Amino acid sequence: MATTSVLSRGNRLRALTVIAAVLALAAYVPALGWPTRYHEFTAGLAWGMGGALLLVGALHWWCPQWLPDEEDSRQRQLGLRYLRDAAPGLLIYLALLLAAPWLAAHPPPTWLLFLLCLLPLFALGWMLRAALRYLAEADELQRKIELESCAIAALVVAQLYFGAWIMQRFGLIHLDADAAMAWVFACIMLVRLAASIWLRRKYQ
Amino acid sequence: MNNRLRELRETQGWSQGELAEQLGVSRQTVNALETGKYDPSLPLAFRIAALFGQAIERIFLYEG
Repeated sequence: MATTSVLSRGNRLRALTVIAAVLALAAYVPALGWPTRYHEFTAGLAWGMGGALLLVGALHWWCPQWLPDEEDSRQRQLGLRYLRDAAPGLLIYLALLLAAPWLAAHPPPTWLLFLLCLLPLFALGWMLRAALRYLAEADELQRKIELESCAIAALVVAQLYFGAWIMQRFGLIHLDADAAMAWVFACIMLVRLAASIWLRRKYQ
Repeated sequence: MNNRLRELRETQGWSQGELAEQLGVSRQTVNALETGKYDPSLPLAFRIAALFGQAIERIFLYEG
């Protein structure tokens, strides 16, 4: 099938490597002097996404057994449909993250800013709908793994943030609240990935 | 809980993937069931019993 050949493991690895390299390189653009005003938030974002994609690529390459079974047609179809369903929400979320520094420097009219602030809710709602549809159609063990990994991620990240708040309160660390809030979603996704790998291995 | 799923599947000459497809679950789920790492829900246990034409208690053996 065309879809299968386009999304073969080799093609996916190549695509991941290229995207990760481009993102990581983007973080170096300011060092090359172009463009002159390159926001550090965007550089951090490029590093974060490049690093996450490299991690996924490394898992695909060295530990494919830790990821969902690619030979399983049911699992593959579910995964592809989840990506298709979640893509619009992810793209809106990404576009807003990339545009955030520019919007902060050039604030639009209040009514437009209000609409833009509501867009992440719309994007996350879209992703939530895709996730719920995935859960509804996954089989019972997959659903158990996904729900447990989500619960672990929510608890771990909440505890980390609470711990960081206590340390900040007593002056042990100093984190920028703006950056800390922007990283919540990324932290949850990262811990969720680690938890789902651990749970998947548990049932192998 | 022990079960005779692997034995029954092999008697039919099915692969794990083929059994998974007939049950509407993933191959990982069939593997987890066969190795006893996951106990199925009641509806799935009934589907398995119906597929092999046997009573649930003849496939899943409770060891209290």
